[in-house]
Amino acid sequence: MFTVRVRMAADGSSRAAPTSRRAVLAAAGWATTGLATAALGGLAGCDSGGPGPDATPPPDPLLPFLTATVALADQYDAAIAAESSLSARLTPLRDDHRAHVRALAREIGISPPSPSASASAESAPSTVQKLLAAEKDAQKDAEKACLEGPSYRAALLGSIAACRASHQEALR
Amino acid sequence: MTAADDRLAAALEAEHAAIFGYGVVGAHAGGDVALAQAAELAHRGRRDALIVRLTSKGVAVPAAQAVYALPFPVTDQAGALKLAQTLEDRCAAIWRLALPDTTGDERKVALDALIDCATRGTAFRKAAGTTPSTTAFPGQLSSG
Repeated sequence: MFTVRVRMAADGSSRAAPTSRRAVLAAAGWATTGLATAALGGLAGCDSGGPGPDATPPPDPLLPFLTATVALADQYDAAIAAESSLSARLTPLRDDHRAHVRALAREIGISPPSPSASASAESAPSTVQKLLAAEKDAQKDAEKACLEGPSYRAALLGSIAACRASHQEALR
Repeated sequence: MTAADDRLAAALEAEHAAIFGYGVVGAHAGGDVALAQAAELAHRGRRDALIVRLTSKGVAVPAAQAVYALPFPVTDQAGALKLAQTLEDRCAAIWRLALPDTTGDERKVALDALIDCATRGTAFRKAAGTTPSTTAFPGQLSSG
């Protein structure tokens, strides 16, 4: 409709970057050690010496973003568990975040991390106001990642930023 | 014309079409007319900014057409809200396509526009009572 030229040749979500076997192997190790240790693993990776064939590959810069996205989805789980009357309203939003987790894991080249049930149980009940604030911060993170990241990830990260903005509208 | 210019010119065409569409939305929006007017105003702002930007770069600026074909006839408030959702979805898709081909300030322009379209899309879904009111990947035309 509207005779607008739509050029669909390059939808930016494609994985143009070579996802190397190294990255997949490194990420698989990360996935099995769990999210809690992911940050530590990332730091350790930075300690490797000069660039050599055996040097540990740098962690994917999207890993912290993925971890934060899992935490955001977990926050919704906690809110839904604490207040079942909010379930109908919050579940679709939670599902959007889970879809982001799957897409980010695919982009990085790892298996999607599963929801951390323990984190949900430990979290203080999240109110809608707290979720709103979390979405706002998360939108900023996604915008930063989109603007500073490589072009082949810009569309994916831009959509995630836009989704988080639309969640704020949905929560209002 | 660079790939970025090409994407921005396509975005301008989409904004022209959206502004036309909002003329129809506004006529049938009933109680949601303020929402429709605010949306139209935002698209006019984007259009004007794009014209300034493209002109300053020496890029040929696509003109608005006199008439655009509507995707479906709009005769009532429900139809108006549905058209508004469609307009925002289309614009979101065009702006999303601009992200990989732009850098720096121009990527920010595209990102801000995508975010606005997605937010308004949700506002119109809420007004129409459509559930869910959000999508995981605004602007993405293919699934996955």
